[in-house]
Amino acid sequence: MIQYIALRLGQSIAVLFIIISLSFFVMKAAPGSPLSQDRQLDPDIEQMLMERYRLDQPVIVQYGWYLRGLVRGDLGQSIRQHAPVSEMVAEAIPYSLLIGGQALLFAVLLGTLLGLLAGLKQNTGWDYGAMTFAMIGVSIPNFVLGPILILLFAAGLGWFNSGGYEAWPDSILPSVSLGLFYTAYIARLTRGGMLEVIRQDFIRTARAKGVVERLVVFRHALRGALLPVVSYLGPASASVLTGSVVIEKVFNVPGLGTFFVDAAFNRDYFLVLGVIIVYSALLVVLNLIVDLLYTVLDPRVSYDD
Amino acid sequence: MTEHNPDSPAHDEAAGHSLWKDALKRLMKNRAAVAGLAFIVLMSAMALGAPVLSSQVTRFTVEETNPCLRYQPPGMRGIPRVHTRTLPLDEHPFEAVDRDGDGFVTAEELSVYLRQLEFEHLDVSGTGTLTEDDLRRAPRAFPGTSDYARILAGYDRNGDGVLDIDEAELIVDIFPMSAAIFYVRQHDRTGDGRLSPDEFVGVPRPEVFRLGTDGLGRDLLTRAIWGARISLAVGLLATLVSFFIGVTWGAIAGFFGGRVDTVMMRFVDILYGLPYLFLVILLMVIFEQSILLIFIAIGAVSWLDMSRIVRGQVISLKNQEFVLAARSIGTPGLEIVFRHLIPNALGPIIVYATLTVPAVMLQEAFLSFLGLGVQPPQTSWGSLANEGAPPGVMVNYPWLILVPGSLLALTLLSLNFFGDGLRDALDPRMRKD
Repeated sequence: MIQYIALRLGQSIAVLFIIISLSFFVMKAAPGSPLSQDRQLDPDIEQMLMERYRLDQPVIVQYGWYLRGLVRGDLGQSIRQHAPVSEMVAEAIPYSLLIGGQALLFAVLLGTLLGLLAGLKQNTGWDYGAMTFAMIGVSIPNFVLGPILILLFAAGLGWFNSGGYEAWPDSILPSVSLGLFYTAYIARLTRGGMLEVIRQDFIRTARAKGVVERLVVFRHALRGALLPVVSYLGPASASVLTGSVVIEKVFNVPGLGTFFVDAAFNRDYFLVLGVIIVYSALLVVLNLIVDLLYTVLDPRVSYDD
Repeated sequence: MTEHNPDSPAHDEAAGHSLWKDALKRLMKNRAAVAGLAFIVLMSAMALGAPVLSSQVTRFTVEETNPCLRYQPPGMRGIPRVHTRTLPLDEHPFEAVDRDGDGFVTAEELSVYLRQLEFEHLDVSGTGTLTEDDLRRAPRAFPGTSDYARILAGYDRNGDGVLDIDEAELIVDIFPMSAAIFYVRQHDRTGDGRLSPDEFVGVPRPEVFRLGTDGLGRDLLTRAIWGARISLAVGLLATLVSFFIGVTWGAIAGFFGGRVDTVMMRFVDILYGLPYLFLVILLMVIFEQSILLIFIAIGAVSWLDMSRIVRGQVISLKNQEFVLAARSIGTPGLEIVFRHLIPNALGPIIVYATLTVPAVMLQEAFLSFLGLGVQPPQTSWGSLANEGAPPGVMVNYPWLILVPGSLLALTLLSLNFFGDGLRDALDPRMRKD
């Protein structure tokens, strides 16, 4: 087990390294520089800034310096904002984590509930209702759903504030708009899993030996039915992270996603890289957790050999 | 087809044919899938017919702006610049427009005339003034509120409870001076900036902005129709790109197996873990954004699932007798893959490709929504939604996000229903029930 985790961590670091290098060189290959925008800078000042951020040195040397900083936990400076990237990221990340986390939580809870209901009451009104909802859910883009929710609940009914993020209640609508797609998808996965598991022998055995139906469903069947959901959580969290870029824009949330797009437009090299690194690291960790969760749920899977 | 010779390959084909026929029958029974298909056909027809639709039906071009008619609600009228029709000359003759009777029609006279015309158009009750009731029954919406008394009060300068044409100027000015000058210049052969009776072809006919206008006064319906072209084209072409990469990759990995398989699928696993959309975003920001790049970038990151499915199919097929037969007569490996294995795995491949279309359309919309996808003057549903998304715009002029948003959502819904139906029809075993 420990060996497996070590192996996976090693792989993850390799993946992170590839992402960082790829992003670094793609960014550098781009025309334009963080200093070449808006107004013309005084040549002396420009020279000074170039030296300060080592933009005057060969790309490979810059890369070396950047990696050196990373190893020491230094994400560099935002060239446009004149602030350390790590501080900016630290300020923005709670918003993104809160909204993304809530979205996933909402999706897992409601999604499994709906899927369970649909699977247990197959071909009834419950099933059709839940599956129609799921179909609609996977088809509405979150940047369309977001504005509709704002129009309905913020502008129309006045339950929420539509101006931007101020306090926790303002995270509800963004989380719901971000999470609905995954709710729908998880509902479909759970239903499929449930239908498959419920016909297997071990379920029949459990019923035959007189286990109460509630226990059959929740202790025996649900475990198996949730396996596809758990393996979906990895890709889902990746996609929640990217989705949050859009949701943050729609709802005016000062999270990481907003940073990312602005920084990429401004060629703010270190800020872009910093955000990518943080996102990728999050993703890698989440994937690892998902894999480990898998062993807990499915005794047939073992990483020990 | 030689049906009586059971040994010829045509026999297999005949059996295959009836399989597809069965599938078609099952598909036609699925009402949601058929409705989805109908909607997709409708949208495709709309996309293909965009040039005709904009010149013959909406009459506005995608790009023509009307600076004075920004953010107009659905039902508002304006004068198109390119596809202009004229009102019948006997009802609106030269003399009626030439108010000062000097024998020439100027831009200002045209503008005033059309203002009067629009005023009469809104004056449903025919009282010569606009009353609260007129506003309520007007063939167009007034944005922001349905409190017509308040709208009226906002314009009613002399406080008499009704609007005369001067007070209603902002409501009825559908042919502002700039547009009128442009119109006169189009027909003015002598170059004196006014129209003589023989230069005058008629009063330009107001056309309806059926879905309102955007922040530059462009007709939203026309833009939504043209946007369908890009959105659907991306869906189709990016799917093709992902189809070719995914099928080739998966089939080769599955067929050759062993170390080749391990290396190729390990690569897929690694790509799975990448937050690739960030790389796409980075690419789109950095390089010149062209439609071609969007196709390739989206297609190039969407082939992973396809390769896994094809690999699974190929592995389950490759030990069957017909492959052995092909091998035994010395068919080269790649030919077996492309001539024998892939055609036999076509069912699941088609199903998955159909379900890839909504996924890639969503990604294009996502990129365009961030302003990173389709660039002006081209437009797609995603970039239209982007224009309607800023909080101030969304709340006051909701049609700007609701129109492209619901077109996109309905199309994705249709594609998903159709794809699901196709899956159930082609392979009832894959059905999850």
